[in-house]
Amino acid sequence: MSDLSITPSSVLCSSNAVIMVGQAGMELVAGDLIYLSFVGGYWERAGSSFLIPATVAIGWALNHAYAYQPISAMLSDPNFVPGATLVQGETYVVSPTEIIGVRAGKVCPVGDLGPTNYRCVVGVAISTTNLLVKTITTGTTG
Amino acid sequence: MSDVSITQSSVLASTGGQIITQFTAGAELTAGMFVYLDSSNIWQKVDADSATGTETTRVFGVVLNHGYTGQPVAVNARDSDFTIGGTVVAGTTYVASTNAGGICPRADLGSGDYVVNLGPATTTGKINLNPTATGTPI
Repeated sequence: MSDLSITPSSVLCSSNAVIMVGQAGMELVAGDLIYLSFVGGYWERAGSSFLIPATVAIGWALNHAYAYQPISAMLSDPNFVPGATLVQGETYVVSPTEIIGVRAGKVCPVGDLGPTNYRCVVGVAISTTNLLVKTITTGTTG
Repeated sequence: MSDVSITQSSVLASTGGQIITQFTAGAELTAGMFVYLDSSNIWQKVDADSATGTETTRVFGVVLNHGYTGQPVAVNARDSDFTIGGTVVAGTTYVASTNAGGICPRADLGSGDYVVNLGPATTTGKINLNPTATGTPI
């Protein structure tokens, strides 16, 4: 399997979503997995090849922002449309994918993680289009 | 003259900006677009050609990020030191243009256009954002 292929224009939360609005520390697009960095308090792309402590908030970017612009980060949602094709029942996590050494903010099935990757759960597919989102940062590898 | 050319990545509110974050986009909206809140609490582009969305009772602002239809966007409703992301002329008052979401100098509007003031430019890059509508065409 591989990272989800997300169409940013199709990313939509439900009316029951819990959303934080903060400031982007880099360019972020809808569907990116992001975490609240302890350096500066900006939202940045997440990656499971780097430690994300269990105390750090992680979420889904709901729109597109350049550095220092406002970004909406969704932390939980019972019926989230991530704009990608899912496998019903699958658990999705932060992917270890990097782009030239930088966290890519991608999503993958939990089975794709290696033993050195950190476990950050970002949702369980309740259909081929919708996710039950409860983000969990464990701070541990598998 | 013509609409202000906006570089989306350069649009930035000041620390004093009054930012509205809880509403969603009614169409694809990009940073720097001039918008109003419609009766369903959805952000739409202001168009000086239209009587709808240029009424005095509307809430106006400038988009600070980018959202597709249904996605949340942040809108700067008032900001005395707003970086608009384009080159403006200090002392000139800017308004909604006849291109939906666009911004132009007040002098560019013609007969029949509705005036929605964005605010005056204070430098070549900043606007004292304080949107107000007159509700009547020129």
